[in-house]
Amino acid sequence: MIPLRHPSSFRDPAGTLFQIDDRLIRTVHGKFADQYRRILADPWLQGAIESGDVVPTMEAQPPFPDLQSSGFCLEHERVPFVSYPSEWPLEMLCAAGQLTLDLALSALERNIGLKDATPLNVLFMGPRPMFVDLLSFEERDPHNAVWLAYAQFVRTFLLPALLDSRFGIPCNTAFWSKRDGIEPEHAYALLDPVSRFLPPFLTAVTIPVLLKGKAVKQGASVYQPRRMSDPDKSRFIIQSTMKRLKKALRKAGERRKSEGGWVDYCATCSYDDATFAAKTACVAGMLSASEGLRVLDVGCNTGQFSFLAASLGSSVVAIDSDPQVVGRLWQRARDQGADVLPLVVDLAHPTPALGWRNDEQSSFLNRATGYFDTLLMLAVVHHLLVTAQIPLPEIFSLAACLTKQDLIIEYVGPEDTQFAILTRGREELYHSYSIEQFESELEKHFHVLRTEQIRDTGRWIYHGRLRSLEHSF
Amino acid sequence: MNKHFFTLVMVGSILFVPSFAYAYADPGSGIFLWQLLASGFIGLLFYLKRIITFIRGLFGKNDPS
Repeated sequence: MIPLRHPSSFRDPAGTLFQIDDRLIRTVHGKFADQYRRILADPWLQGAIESGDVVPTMEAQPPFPDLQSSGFCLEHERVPFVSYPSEWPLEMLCAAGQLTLDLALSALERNIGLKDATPLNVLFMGPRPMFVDLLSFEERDPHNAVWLAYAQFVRTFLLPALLDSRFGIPCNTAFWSKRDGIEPEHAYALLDPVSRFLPPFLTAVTIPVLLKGKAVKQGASVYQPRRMSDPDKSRFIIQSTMKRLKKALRKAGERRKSEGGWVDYCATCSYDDATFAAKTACVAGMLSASEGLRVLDVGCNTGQFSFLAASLGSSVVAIDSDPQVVGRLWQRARDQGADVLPLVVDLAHPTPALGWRNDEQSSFLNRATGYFDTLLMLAVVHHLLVTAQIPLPEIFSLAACLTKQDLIIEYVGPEDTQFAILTRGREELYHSYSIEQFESELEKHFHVLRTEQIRDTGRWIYHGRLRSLEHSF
Repeated sequence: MNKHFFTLVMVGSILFVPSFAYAYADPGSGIFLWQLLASGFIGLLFYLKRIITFIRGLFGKNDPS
């Protein structure tokens, strides 16, 4: 039982997060202890924990003597599947931002401030955002009229959302390259001369860019505290700032640019209603037989099968490479209250490990390996094979790492119309691809429990169980 | 005596002004300055709102119903 400092917990001077076996313990350093005891006891925070907006947290006995000397300890409930803004579609980023502002506004009434505002403070429980970084709250000076985290909120929520909804630049990719969000100067370079001087870019981008030189010239003095004699006035200023941001973020979350592609898959795909119903019934039977508590749906598209698995009692993580599709799926999951966490992940190019020493945010494959009981790969193998050009043995090798038990997988052959659309004249590369080859590779890692053809489509669904329990990635 | 008392109050208030020692999020430069300017304007709205509330209050008192 060795305490491991969480690899991303080193910036906040108020405390440090540790992992001890299965537990998440946060130490709060000496001089901050009283403050955080008061914040934790505040009825506002307890209400937010009860409503599910803030992670369930309580004071804990320090499991080690060294942790005792540092102040006091908090224990957090663990979120089942951690995800990052580098995997969220526009809609989820905006939901995380709205939650952050709602909590900041309600905290303000209690004279509690929010000292940092980044999407990394938020995790998702299924489709529901939850604030997890308790030490982001702090007792504030009631006379202070400046919200220091404002710029971080603009950089990490508002600007990525604006570039996504107005220019079609997926917001999740901004987080692959930018640790702390998009600077206004970078956004400025993308704007045409007219957009620069119109809302929303005028206030979010252009004015800050024009003021930057002046701010730099003034140096450290510009960051002097701005205290008002009347605390109501300070609160009013910060409240108005946050409410304006809420409105701006809501508007930024409305998509304008369509990215096209697989958006209305079910309308354009080769399944007619009867065939699709037959496929659904087949998969439902296999999911019931599998009884997997944790399901990964790869290439989830509209989420038909994710919702099916969730309705049978599973917790589902659903991934697809198209952010618009994932965004729509998230809205449906949220509206229905389904236990589905949709993420923007291309299995052939999954989220990398990010941050300091590539250790602050772990890669998707690292989090997924050894986590799921059942893996769904429906109508996705031919995309990996043809579009991503991953060899078939590699696909099954990865599948064997991503599930602890079952695989439900669909075979789509070279004679299928969807397959032909993907090859684009490269049919020769796949002339030897056949159901026999598919089955042969499948059988190397899984023994087949059941197989069924979907009516007369030439497509087959297989239910396989992992042969070996030991797989190294 | 008054001069010493005044100095003491000034020194005391400087000591008790909270610093940004524990804030660690990058407050930005251009964004920060824009926030300050906008805050100045919002501060004026605060007084305007108070005046409007006061006037409404007067009319409310004078309202026969």
